[in-house]
Amino acid sequence: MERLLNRPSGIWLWPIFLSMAAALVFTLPGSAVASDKVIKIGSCPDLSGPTSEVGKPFSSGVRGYFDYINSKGGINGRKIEYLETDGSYNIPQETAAFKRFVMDGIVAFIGWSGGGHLQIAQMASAKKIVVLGASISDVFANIQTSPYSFIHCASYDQVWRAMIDHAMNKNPGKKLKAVIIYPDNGYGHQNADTCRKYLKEKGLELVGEEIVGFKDIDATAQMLKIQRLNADIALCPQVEPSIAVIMRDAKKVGIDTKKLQFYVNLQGMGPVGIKLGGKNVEDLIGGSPFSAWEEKDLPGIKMIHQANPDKKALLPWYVHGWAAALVISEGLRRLGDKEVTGENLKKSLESIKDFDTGGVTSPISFSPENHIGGRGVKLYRPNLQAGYFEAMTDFIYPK
Amino acid sequence: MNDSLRLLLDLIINGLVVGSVYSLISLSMVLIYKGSKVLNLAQGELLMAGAYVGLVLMTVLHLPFVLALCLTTAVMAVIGLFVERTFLRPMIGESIISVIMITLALSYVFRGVAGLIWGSETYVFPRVLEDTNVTVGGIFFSGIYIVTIGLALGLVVLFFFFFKYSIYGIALRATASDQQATLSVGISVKRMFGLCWAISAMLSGVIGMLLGIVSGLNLTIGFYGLLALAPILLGGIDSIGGAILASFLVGVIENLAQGYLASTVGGSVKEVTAFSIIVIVMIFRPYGLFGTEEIERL
Amino acid sequence: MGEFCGDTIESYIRDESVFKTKTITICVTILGCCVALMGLGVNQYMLHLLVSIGIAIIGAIGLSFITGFTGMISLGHGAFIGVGAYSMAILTDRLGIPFIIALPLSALITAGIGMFFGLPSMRIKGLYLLMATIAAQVIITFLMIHCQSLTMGLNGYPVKPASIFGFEFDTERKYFYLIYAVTLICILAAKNVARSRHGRAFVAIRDQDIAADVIGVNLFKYKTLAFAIGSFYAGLAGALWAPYLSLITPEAFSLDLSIGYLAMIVVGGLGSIMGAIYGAIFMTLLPEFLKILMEEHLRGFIPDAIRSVPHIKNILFGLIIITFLIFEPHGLAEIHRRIKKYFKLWPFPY
Repeated sequence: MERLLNRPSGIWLWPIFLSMAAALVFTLPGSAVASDKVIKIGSCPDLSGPTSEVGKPFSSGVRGYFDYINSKGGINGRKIEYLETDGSYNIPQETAAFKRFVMDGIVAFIGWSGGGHLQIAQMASAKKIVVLGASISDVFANIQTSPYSFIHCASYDQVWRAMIDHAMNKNPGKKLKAVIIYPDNGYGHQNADTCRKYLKEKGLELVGEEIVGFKDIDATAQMLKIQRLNADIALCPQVEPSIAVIMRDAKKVGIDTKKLQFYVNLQGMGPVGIKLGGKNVEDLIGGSPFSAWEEKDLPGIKMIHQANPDKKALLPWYVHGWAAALVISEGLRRLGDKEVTGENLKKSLESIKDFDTGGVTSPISFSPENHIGGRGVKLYRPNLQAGYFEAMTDFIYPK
Repeated sequence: MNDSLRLLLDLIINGLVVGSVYSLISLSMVLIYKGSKVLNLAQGELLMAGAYVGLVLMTVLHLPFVLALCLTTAVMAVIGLFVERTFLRPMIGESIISVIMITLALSYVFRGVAGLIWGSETYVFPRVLEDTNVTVGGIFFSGIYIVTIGLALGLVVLFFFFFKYSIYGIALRATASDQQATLSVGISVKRMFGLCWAISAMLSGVIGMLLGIVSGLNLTIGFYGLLALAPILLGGIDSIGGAILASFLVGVIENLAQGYLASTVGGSVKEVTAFSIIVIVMIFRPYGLFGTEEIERL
Repeated sequence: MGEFCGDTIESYIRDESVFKTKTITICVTILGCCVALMGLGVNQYMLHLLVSIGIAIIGAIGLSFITGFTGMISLGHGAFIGVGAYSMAILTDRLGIPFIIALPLSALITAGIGMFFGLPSMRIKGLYLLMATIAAQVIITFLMIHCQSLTMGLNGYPVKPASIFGFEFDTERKYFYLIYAVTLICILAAKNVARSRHGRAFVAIRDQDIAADVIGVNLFKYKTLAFAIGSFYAGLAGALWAPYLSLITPEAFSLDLSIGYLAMIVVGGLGSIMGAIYGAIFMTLLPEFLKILMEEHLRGFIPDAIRSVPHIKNILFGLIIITFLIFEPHGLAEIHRRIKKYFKLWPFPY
């Protein structure tokens, strides 16, 4: 070891350095031209960061659908090439990925994080590339700021409306008190803003807000405060580990989860939440714009089963990704023989009316004024025995 | 008892619970500092390693909890020795920056390896001691929480006496205070380094496994290591008693801040409050509440 | 008349010059022109990389002053870059100040804030100072997220593209030339400071601060100056980055960014400007290279290779730093010096 340390050891690092430089120069992404036979679609899901538990199945869902379609001959004879890189919930990384794929000639991009998608939506509109995102916040349907941005299902807005409506229907005539428990990031704030708006619209009282972040392992202090507020409903845009922590600590401080109804949106309704939370989450209600894998009677879900014959179960976010791919493909299909460009795809999508996705989502409609595709939301309850969330309603259409 | 007093009490109690967790982590870091003058920024990742080892023992080998805990301790000791010998030994004598960078780099390597093997999913341990419950002041504590607190406190007391009376403890303190003198008395400094890293790894591993059981395990559990920096700063980086006391203090402060300030400030105030208080304290007592002031000689 | 063996410097001016021989000056100028020409021929992604490298160089030089020259370890650099970025955003957006004034102004603001957080450096050293900088990072990030009225919080602050006297830098190519020019100026300025008495004072403080104090180096003045210059550069880097990103969010200026910059100067070589430059280039290109390797070449072999990329990136990042620290503690700059020495004497062995 000593001898190794005393030699001019830097020399052996040079071959590594030079070969890296050479490799980099030779393998740079060239500016590819979108050929007529191949349609390129890019994406930057979170495969390794704080939301990777949702990101990985989402990415599988998107890829699953495109693979399935390609195996059936593609769309109008053209195959889809799905370019994907890990965004890691990191905005500079996501935007760099977007720029790289633009150079590769994509016509559509599927974004991920709330913050990153915001930025990419603006850039995409400048470059005339259609964007959809896993973050289905209404912010992205703003035609003024990002005219090329579409939401392939009901948005977060609808999901929260549906859940708040459900609470109001169960307690007719009562002026409900609500708390919002959200993480301190783009996703959390976007959802919280939506909740506040709707609560105000319906005349419900917002008695408190608490922050519980993605990384928090202890929410006792927050729950202690909520306990004293005597709220009726708790709206939680959270991921699974967080909602498990929240409900565990809620029970810990003595909150009766039958009296205080916890609602979580689709990012929090998965098997891990049930595993982590156990009995603590038994009273949780989840809302999602999608149907679940377990509903195999629906033709759209059956198609997912057919595409994945060897899978025992797939997560709600697989369906989310699948649906995104499905909607883009429908837009591409309607292009017929026209040239595949972002601009044409946008117009094609806007022409979709009442597209039946076979029950995967509620029927999808777009128009030049409306880029939110769906309005239907399903509510779910955890099935502790089976270990997944079960649909307890069909698609609800909040007003 | 009126309500706001109850809230205060509940927050303090929870703060003490959280503090007991911090105390083990900060104890591990202080141990390494006292033994080898290294600030180990990879402590959180050692926590994570212990948790994953425990996970494998309990879910793959299906060992019962107590056995798994003991085995985890043994494995972590080996890991601690390995890390010290491979990565820290060559850095003896180098500047502080280099050593700190090595621990930082190590934390990335650990996280990368764990990510490769286990991915970034959240894993759940099999249920341990679910049914035993204790109620303190209106807050339920499940069995595993009690074990965690009990173990944390017990280990802290154990190490306090270890350092004061055991021959190895004294040897470690000697190494920390003056390596040359220690060598001349015949104590193998290298062995002492190995020992303190092994013990520190064991401690972190234990608390990591317990944390994993309580709240699920994924790659981000190492974050706790960073949070433990606050108590160390406050208590003084080379004072065991200081670190422990500061841990409880920081736990309580964080909870109180989250409880009272969050609504006005609107956000996750835990880390910021802890760090802000520390910055203020450091203006008056730069070496922490109980740290020894460094007297430099040329 | 060619090169002699050894130095043939005959005046103080020659001794102090940045480029010690005519050959070096010519080589560096050619290199500079090559890089400038690259801006014309290369595709957009390469330009993006070059811009990132330029900004990284500026930031790394800044950290170099604080940590490399003066020996004060700082893990708050990422936050300061963020301060620069937000300053630029707020100045151009709310106060309508033109880019060309907002740029140095943002850097100055950051320098001020840097000095403020550097004040504790007077009383505390080494590890405690390090943790104070971590505290600075955490606190500044918190403020960026929560002073919503000022910073637009987590929704991000949109920043208009840079424009000087009406000329808008709205494409990658134009921005590359802007960054190139600024980076060049920064490097020369830094080199100048480094070889001046201030630079020597910094190094004195790092090596033996008590002795430096004894011989009359004003510790307070120079430590604060180091933080000021370092933060100025950080602010400059951030202010240049903001219009490029066109939307800045607090999440971009995290502890990971600080660690990344520290890694740059450690790998590149502490205590030298060239080290900072090398380190910046190396650490910016590394993840790109890895991504290309994993995604385009290994996709055939390992289907889910893409999922392991970030983990392998972490491992590689850590291992490279460890390797450099153990085997080449003076970094890439030292390797460069060795090669230069070798060629200086070539083909003679000594």
